[in-house]
Amino acid sequence: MKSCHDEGADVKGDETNIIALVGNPNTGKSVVFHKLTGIYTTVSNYPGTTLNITTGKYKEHTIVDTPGVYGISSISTEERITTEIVLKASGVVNIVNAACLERELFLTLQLIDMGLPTVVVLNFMDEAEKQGLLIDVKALSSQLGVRVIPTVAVTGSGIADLKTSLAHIESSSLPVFGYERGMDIDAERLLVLHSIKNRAEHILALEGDGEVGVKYSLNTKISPDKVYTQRRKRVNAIIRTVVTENPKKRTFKKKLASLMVHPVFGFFFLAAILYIAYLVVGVFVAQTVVNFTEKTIMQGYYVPYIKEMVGFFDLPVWLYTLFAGEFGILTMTLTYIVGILLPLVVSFYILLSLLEDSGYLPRLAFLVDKTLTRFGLNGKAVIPLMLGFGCVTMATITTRMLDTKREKDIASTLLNFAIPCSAQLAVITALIATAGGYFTLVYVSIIFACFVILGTVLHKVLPGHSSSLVLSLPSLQLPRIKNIIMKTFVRTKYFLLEAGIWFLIGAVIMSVFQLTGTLELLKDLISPIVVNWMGLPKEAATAYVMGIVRRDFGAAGFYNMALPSLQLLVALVSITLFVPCIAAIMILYKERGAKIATAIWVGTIVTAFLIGGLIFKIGVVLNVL
Amino acid sequence: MLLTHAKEQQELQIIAIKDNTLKTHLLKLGLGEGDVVRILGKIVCGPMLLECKSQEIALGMENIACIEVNAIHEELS
Repeated sequence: MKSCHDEGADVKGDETNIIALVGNPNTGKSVVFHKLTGIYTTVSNYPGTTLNITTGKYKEHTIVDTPGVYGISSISTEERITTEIVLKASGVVNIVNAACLERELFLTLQLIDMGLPTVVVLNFMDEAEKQGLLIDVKALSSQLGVRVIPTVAVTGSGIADLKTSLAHIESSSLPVFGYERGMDIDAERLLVLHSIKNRAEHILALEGDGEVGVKYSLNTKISPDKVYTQRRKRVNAIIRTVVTENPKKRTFKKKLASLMVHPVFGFFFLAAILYIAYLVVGVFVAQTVVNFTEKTIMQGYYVPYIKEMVGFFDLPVWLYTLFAGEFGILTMTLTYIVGILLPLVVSFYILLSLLEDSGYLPRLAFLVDKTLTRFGLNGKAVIPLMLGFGCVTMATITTRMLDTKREKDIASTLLNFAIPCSAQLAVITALIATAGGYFTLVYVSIIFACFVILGTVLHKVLPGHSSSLVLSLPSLQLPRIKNIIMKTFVRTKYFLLEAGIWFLIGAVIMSVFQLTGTLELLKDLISPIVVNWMGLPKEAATAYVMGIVRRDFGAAGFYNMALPSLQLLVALVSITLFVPCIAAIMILYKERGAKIATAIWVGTIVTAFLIGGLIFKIGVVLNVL
Repeated sequence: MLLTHAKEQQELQIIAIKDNTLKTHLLKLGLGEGDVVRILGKIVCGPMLLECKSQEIALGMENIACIEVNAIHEELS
């Protein structure tokens, strides 16, 4: 398996046998990819889940899962990536959502117009039937001139047919449609267009595609709307002959969907979801489960046993400290990861997966669009922002789904400043719960205020233009347990591998610092800020040193400090706003460049200490303890 | 009239999409001039949710202001 996080379409392997899975967002491409190759890629119910290409093998074919697109062009990053792949591919499997056939056939016709060998997979046939849509598959196949295979990919229905078809994918048997007839093209351009022998490039040049236009020295400022309008009319004509509608009554699903986007009840619905999440993660898991895993299992049995075991070998002090000391690899690292973070992270990932798979996130995008426009974003940005509560690193990659560089810059900055990831949030939830509801409310309000102020400032100062919302909403779905388990498993595995390595490195560094006296030196160095400005004990400095590796590592450092409420608030707000973890900074560097990554890293340190100190000073004035 | 002035549950026909980029984007999504849409949801001075050909499309305020429509049917929500 190869997963490419770069913004390019670098497909290695046998270039003569590439089969590209192409389709609109949310058509089940990743499910079909899984059925063909056995490789799991994240599947969710919102547009933009697949933002990178993944390749796998089926027999002699290299199967490529591409990002969801509504058309082939070089306008957006995902369309450019998909275009590059389809131009290299020997065949295209166009996956179509049968419940939205009218929308999806536009891309199908474009692929056919380009002369690409294509087979159409009519997925979600069960959903179309539920909606009262009857599709004449044979008629559709003859209207398109390519093979059409009805499927329900999640159950595996129709996949065997698709596998058989892969060996002989052909171009449409119908004559080429002459778009030029309905267009007013000047003679010079027509001459160049006729000189383009590659049919795919000819169509793209006719549509005014930028990259093909540059290649053939054509004016690239031509709007594709004339070709698109003709194609849309062709789609409408096909639909009239192949689809029979028997609309079903307004279902519970539709009523629930309209409640979710209601300007008043929609926010009550959101509040209810957040409250349930708090009860599950913040109360049940953070208090009951973590109390058992951390206190009973790890501190009660595991750590004493490990200390005794390591002590048995009569190791030198430095080696004992490294393995079983205060910051030991076998003691502190495993206690933090297994005892504290694992139960919290798993519960968080389950909740996030439920939200993703239900189709709620795009509806939330509609609901909060007006608010997000004040920060130079549109509603679509709520998807990466919400995913940031799972993992800021992955969410930073997801900002690719946003339309402009400005939006990507703003969303990435907000994510890395003011959105705590699941691991960090889980530790914070567990700690703040001990201070009571009032302090929890103050903590949430401060972080939210930081988010609002930062977003407003970025909107005012950043140059460029932000786009207005255009989002196709998927239908609501009951999340499938199998996918929730799979997704939680994959994410937890990624977390354990990624966090495990950095925790290990962090533990070694901390042990070395402790043995060499560097830790005391660092504590002395930042104690004027930590002790005098923020009113925290000197030991708290250790958490910030640990926090440079990972913020959750730092937050976990406060776990056994028994800080009074005001100090706990100062500590948790400052560690929330503290530097993003090393993995997040690396991704940020790659996605947004050195200048922005460095500015965020330095900015978070200054902001964290500044806000932390201000809270302490205000708390003292107000006599809050 | 502009789509901005449409009411919830109103059925309208799209007459013109004044912005070419938006027009191209909407054509890919299945929405073009001449199509009939229904307003499913509206947030004051905010986005609008349209139903067209068994799909739901959310449009931001700036985009709504670029779409000219004719009311063809009105019903109470």
